[in-house]
Amino acid sequence: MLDGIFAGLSTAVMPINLLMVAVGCFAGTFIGMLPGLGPITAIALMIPITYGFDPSTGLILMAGVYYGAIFGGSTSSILINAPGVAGTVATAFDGYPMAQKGQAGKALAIAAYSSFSGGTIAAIFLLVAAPALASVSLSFQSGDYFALMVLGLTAVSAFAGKGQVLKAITMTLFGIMLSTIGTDPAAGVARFTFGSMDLVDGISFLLLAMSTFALSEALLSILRPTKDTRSDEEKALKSLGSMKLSKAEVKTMVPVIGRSSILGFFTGVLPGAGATIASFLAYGMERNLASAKEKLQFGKGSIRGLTAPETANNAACSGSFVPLLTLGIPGSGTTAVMMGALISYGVQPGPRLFVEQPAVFWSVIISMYIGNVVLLILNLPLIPYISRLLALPQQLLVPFVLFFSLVGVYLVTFNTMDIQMMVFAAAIAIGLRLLNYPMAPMLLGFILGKMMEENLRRALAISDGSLSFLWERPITLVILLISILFLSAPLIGNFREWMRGRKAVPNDGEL
Amino acid sequence: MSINRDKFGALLFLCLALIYGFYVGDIPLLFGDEDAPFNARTLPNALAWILGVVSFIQLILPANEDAGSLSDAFRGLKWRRVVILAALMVFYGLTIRQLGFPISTSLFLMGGFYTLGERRPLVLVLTAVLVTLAFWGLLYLMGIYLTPGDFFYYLGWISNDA
Repeated sequence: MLDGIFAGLSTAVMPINLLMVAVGCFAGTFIGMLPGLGPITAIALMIPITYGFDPSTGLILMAGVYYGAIFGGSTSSILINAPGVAGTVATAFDGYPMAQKGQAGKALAIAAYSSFSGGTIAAIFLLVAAPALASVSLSFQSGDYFALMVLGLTAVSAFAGKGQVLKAITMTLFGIMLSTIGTDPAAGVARFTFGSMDLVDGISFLLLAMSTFALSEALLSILRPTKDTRSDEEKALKSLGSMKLSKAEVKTMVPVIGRSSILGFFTGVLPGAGATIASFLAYGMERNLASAKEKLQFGKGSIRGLTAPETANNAACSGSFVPLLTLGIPGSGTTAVMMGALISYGVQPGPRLFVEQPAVFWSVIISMYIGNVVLLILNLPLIPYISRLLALPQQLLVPFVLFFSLVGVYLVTFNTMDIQMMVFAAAIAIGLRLLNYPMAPMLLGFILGKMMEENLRRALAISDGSLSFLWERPITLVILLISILFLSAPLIGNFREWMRGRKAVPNDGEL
Repeated sequence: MSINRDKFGALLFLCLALIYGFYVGDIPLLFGDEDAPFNARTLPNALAWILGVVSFIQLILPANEDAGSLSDAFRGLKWRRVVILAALMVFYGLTIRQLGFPISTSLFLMGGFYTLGERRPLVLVLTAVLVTLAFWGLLYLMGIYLTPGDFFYYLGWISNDA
């Protein structure tokens, strides 16, 4: 393990990798601050750039972008109450009131220190948990993997939020359906290609990610124009106030950071529960723990109320790397995009990664520390300057995003048909978004669909066609039971609500 | 009367499940695979059934009034500019080989800027051309060479001999 850490350290501190962490954090912060563009788009836009890189360098850049995007989202939450990323919605509860009191600089500093601490503590947990889980998962069999993938997919649906569970399940199934297009890897027969040679290799992951996120988000910002918040953001950045924290404030923050880091990390590890749920849980926990007097401060600029979600969302980002790196199962849309990128580099995430490519495994973990330092010492002081980039008018910005998305895919395949397919996929994605269907479960279903089929096929072959593999090994059974629990929890909740007579009819989205 | 947004979505996915399920029968099977516990049709078949059941459940469950109607979801949207941008993207895909990367990209960006309201000729042309050339140069430095376009080869302005 120590050898691996040193190998990772030597890779992570290579000048190109240090540069990529800094570039990633900076680009992520900028994109995260833009209205409508989230971390998935930020990372997807980076994939084509990273194709020429070493896998470690590519992943380091994307991890930096992920952190940066979350930090950028916090900035817009605090300054103008417009979270760019769902994971920073809870940040606005107390961050924005602080900014209104003229303490925007202090709120940003608290957010940065909390993010740094949360990310760093979680990276230490990752350092311990990832290798341990990777060694355990070496004993996993096809049936266990199949069960884990079912768990990942059901958890994403179960955590989708009120009214969205059935829709998330639908989108997950849609993603798996899309993954069946192309040549069946085992039998070598064409499925759903309708005679088109362009579909024989299946749909490219990058094409799908770019069109359903980058393209559709950019086009939706034109289709459904929301208030352009960039000028407000620019104005707010001009009157930041002091960024210094007093001793008493730091003293208030320390225990909150400790609690929220642990909560955030473990929430992030859970498949499906990412930064958003972690930040809300941490906020709720902190409010419950606060004294009656302190409770009154929540929502009015409480330091504890700002520290908790900011710590937890960054800790959850690190936590979400655990299932990706150790099991090869992404727990969120963002890590699904990263996994797609890793596969395209020729690196298969999973337990073997820890054994076969320790430099990639450890350099990513080490770069998380470096990324957090970069965010703190580089991004925080640079925030006022990033605002100047935000001044780029939308009529120039949107065509650039469209261009980078299209060219990003074209440069990989040099197939002009892909551009037409992207427009088609983006049109479908826009339609589905207007119908309130979430896109991340589809991407996760697409990524996991192929692997799930492969593992199910192998498990059935080993068990001679019998489904007994589902309950023969305790671990498979436990994982599947947890999946059933995840799926049935919203149903039970709804049923209880109905029994209490609170509602005349249950919400149709909840099952 | 307008259909509920969620119900419409469920109806769409129910149709998708039926169409997908119909085409599962077109997947060719290798000799002897028909009786195998898992063949190329197994997962698609299961998916068609599960999606059908899930969307049917969503259809028959009481409507979620918060979802609003379908017409609400599509009301007040600025379709014109999005349709033009989509057409520009299709045009870009059709011309990138023929006109080549620099010209088609410049035209696409200029078209995009114009569609979204940029009217200053200097900004319109200079930004598009400079960004395109800078990106082209960057790609060249990275070892990715994009040809200037088949059109120029047809005209004989550029020779294939080299």
